[in-house]
Amino acid sequence: MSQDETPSNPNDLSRRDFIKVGLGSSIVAVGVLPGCEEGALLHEGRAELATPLSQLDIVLTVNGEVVSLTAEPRSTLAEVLRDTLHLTGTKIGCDRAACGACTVQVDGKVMLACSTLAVEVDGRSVVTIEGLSSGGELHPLQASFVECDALQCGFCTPGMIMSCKGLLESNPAPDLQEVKDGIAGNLCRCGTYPRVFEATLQAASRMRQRG
Amino acid sequence: MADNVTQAGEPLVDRYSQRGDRDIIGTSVPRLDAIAKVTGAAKYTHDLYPTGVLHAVAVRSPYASATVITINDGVARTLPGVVEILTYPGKRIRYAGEEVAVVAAETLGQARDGARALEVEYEAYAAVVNIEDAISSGAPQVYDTKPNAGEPRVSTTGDVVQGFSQADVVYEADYRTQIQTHSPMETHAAVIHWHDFDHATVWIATQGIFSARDELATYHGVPPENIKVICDYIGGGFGSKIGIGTYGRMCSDLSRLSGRPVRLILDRKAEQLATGNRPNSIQHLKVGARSDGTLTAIELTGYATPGVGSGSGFGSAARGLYDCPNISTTEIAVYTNCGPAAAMRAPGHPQGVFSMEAAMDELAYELGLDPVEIRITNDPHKMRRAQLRLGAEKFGWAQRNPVPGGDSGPVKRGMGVATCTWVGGGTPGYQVKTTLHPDGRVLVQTGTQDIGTGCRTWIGMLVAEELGLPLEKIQVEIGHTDLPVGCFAGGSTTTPSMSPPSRESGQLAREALAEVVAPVFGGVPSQLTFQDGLVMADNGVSMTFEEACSYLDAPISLTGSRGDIAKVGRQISTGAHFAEVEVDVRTGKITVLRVLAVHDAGRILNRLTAESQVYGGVIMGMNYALFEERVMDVSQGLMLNANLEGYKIGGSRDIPEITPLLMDLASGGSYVGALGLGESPTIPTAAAIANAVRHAIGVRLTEIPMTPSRVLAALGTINRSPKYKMRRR
Repeated sequence: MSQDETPSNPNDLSRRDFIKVGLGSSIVAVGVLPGCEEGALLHEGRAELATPLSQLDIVLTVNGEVVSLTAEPRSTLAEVLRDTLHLTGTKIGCDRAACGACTVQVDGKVMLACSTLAVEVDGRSVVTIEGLSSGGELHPLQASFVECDALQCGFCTPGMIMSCKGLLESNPAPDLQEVKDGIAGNLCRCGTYPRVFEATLQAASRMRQRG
Repeated sequence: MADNVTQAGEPLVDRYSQRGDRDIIGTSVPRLDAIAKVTGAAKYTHDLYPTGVLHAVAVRSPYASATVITINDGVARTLPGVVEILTYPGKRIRYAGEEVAVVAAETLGQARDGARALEVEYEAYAAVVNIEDAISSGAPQVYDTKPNAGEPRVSTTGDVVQGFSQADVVYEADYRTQIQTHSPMETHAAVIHWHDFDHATVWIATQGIFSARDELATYHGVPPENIKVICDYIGGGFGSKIGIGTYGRMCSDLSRLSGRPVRLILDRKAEQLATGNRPNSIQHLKVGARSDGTLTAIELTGYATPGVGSGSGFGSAARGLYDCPNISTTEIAVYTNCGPAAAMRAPGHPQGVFSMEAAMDELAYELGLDPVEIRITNDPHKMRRAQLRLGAEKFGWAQRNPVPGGDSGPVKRGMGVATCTWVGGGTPGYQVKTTLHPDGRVLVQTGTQDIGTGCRTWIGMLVAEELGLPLEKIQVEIGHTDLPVGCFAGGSTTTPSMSPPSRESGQLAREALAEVVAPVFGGVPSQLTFQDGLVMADNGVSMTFEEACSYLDAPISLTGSRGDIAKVGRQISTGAHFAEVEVDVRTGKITVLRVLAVHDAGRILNRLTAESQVYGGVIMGMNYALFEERVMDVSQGLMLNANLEGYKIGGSRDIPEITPLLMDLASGGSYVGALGLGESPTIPTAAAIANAVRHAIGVRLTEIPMTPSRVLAALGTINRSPKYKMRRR
């Protein structure tokens, strides 16, 4: 058997028994799983790893209201907001801090609820998208998002707005690049970014004018 | 500017509305559901928790090719909160991520515990996860009953041998495009409640409630009318949210077993592995042209893998992007032990346009022709020729450096162009119901899906236009199988399919109300005008719309089903993208500076949401050009980037200046004149960017995504044998 001659082959050839061939070649090729033989029996799942976990009491403020609940130590803030409190505006897009759909504010700081344990916010104040419109009036960011069509399917929108809110609270007069940087952690698959920029700059301007 | 003719060649007379002008159609109107979305009030399938709901978590094979020998659920069943478990012993697994079991429990945490506690025994086999391995002799076969390489799908027009002999230049090269996953922000999800063994309510993130319903009904042997499917809000689909999938069947089975509602929400890893993808392609394309740029022959051969699934064609652009008398395409689908393909935004077209438009550019360079002009020479679509001229002018195409790679300094600019065609005419057969109430309320209902396109809003606008009302007075309900049958949201068919019945339902409602109130005016129904919230007679006497409705004894419902689109035949929507990029030859980084996206979507109904659709398509096309790529570990058969941090989707810092330019002529054949716009805007972007890169650095990348390392590799080959052949006669 000859060595693969492709210079950019990233694979560790010495562990492989088969040859990567170009189109049209005909050399024997057999793929195997390293470390075992063809047809090996492999076991997945360990029953002894499954241990029920106790519940903890948590008291926190959510959108201005004091809430008492119980949660497992491993429950995330996103899970508690959604599954327990049914505040489903905060979305779970990836559950591992890669997409920003779960963005909330904890004691004013922008955080990812999927990567924050519920127990971490015991005694603290959480603001979610549901807390932005008070008395039926939209927050200026929400109003601008509506006017500028900075949303399409809407799934990334709550997290996007929360990030923009955090941005404007720390930087009331951002330029376009600062807006882009401010929401660099929020993924949108529908492609709303250009209008999110526009809406945020518009809302910032209006909020400054309101004083 | 384009001649004002329809595709059928008739003069474009604005046949719209009784007044001959439009108050609301064509303007920019915020979405009816915008407030629900920005406040978090919009309920997606993920957000539904029926009383007593169980949470379901699937167990998925970590092996690309295996048989499930046994599954021991003994311990799992004893865990607190675990209510039901379904296992599939004996199942033949063909890709890593395929389901082997599912656990339903009172809480999500308990379901995950249950899933972890399942002991699964697999017999693992060798697997193949790329085309080269799959087609090599002796490769493990994905399926026992058929070979990995399918029968070549051949399509021939004319005689390419003859055609190449007539060519003054022939350009041939190899191209590669990658696997792209849909990655909607909302993962696939189902919440299903069987009330008894014959009746169910199903909430599912789907682009087609009626097909989901029918599929589930067939699966369980229940009449479709016994199943209600609801999808009011959906977090994107891009073609992947069709049918009920294995996840839907599992969720449904769990509900029937437990007698309780069950929610099954896929995690992001499962979404990346198991819900679909755009197949890749390995193409060899040979194109011949005369010295005036006229194409004489196109020959495309190649492979694509739809994983364990189907639907991997890439030859449509070779066959139909430009006029050519001699065309031959040979496409071979190759099975691999990877997640199944699913239709993804303009299936087959971005792949084929990438190679065709590369060839067009190279022929232009060789012949000393302008890339825009060579395309116009071969373009049978009057509308698209107009788009190319208009776009070139607006983009400043004439300011392009005439020498590719001619910029001095390490950061080089380039401009590129590419075009597209897509079917835009929709299908007949759908219905929209408008109900007028005695208190003046107007309710419009149809069972279609708004997957982010904004159709909920323009459906209301079309009725508002007919009734002379502001949009706020119209309530629109969609996404429920109890409603009249509406279009499945895909194929860019929603707008052209739903706009005629929407308009007709408003028109019929207006006419019915006019019949009722005409006697009050002492006149004839046809003399009444509905405008600015009023109903007016010829003599200037008027009443408010609400007053007019008060003459109704009971609500009246009128159903529009106008199907004249069928009579017009197949309609094409065209587009052209112009891109400008900067390439830093030291780092290989490509920055897209701006994209001008010119499109024909017929009459634009809601300018605001139509432009958003173009932004979205361009951004997805840019991602396809630069970032996205499924990466497989060939030795383990695993997707290495089954998440959103390793599977790279462009973010805010990557966004160029994008200018949508909509032709806004009522070129569609229906009496609304609208065409679809969901897919065209994503087809030519990657090709335009690749052509811009070629122009910037003087050498062509024939593989996407154009990562910095691929750019540097391409730059390194300037002095080596190029991977293309240009023969001159």
